[in-house]
Amino acid sequence: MAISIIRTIIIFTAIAVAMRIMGKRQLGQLEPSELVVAVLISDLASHPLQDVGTPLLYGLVPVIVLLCLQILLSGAMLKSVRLRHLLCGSPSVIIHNGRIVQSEMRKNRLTIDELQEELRKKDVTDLAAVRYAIVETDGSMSVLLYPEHGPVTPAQMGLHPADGGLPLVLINDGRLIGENLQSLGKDRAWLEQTLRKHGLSGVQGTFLLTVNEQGELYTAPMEAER
Amino acid sequence: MKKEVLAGAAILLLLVLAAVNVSGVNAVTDQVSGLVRDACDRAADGDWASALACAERAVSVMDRHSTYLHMVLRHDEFDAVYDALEELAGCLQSRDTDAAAAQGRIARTRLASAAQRESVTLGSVF
Repeated sequence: MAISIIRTIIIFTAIAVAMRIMGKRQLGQLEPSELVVAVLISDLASHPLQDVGTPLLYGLVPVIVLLCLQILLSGAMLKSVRLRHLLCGSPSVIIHNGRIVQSEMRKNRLTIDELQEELRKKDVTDLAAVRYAIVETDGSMSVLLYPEHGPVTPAQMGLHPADGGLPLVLINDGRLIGENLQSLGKDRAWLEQTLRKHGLSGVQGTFLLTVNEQGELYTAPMEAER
Repeated sequence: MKKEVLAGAAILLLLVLAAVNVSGVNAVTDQVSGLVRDACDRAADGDWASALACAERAVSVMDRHSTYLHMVLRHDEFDAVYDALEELAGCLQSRDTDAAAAQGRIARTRLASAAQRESVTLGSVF
């Protein structure tokens, strides 16, 4: 049993590192080759876990090789548009200028029911409101509505709302993010003063503190553990 | 670009290590197989003491490389070879020529099978 525990720790660490190296895509957005690699890695890694008579290398080496091949392939696809189209395919325009392209639906083996389901997931129930619907290479659908059916924007109403920008996290779960404080051009003294002004008891007493480009703060005090 | 270069280098390194591994496994199995053949030949000539010494040297070579072999061969394969060598030693101790010859053949077959599994051939790839 000790062997199983140690092997599990090793394989788990190896796969976590491999997935981290592969990149940030969420599982549902993987290209076909990436999905194959993800599925294969999980299967290959499980063999030495299930059978302690199988050397650990029989699981680790294929994982490393798959990871390296995936990195090489991704690099090649970055450089070669042709290879990218060959391996990932091209997006398919299912609705073009409001008209359903039936040949593309047949090519993608997409039924009307599936098309309507995907549109509903995008909060679109009226096909007449859709100008373009595109099935991307990862299988997801992008929808562009006619302007008169889309949500109104401040620009269309001639409004100019304040732009808060991207909030910076200064304190995360009681820990100070020093580089963010530095990039704001503030120091520790300013931070302590700000925390006192908002009734917070120091860095460790703060669960979350963010500040945006307008200087607006969001604070959340640390809750006492039960 | 750096990641791709490292990935390519890692694959090349693995290929080189694989080649070294094949060579290593072949060296051990050839050495043990040779000792087993010697043991059987000497037993056939009636030189039981020297035949047993050869068999025990074969076992000791397997012991010396057991950590490495356990890392690169399936454990049951290694155990099967080891068991065959122990059986051979037992047959030689009891001076049973036919049994010793049979065990010797079994040991050499299992050694060849273990070596072939690591070798790159059409049979092992497919």
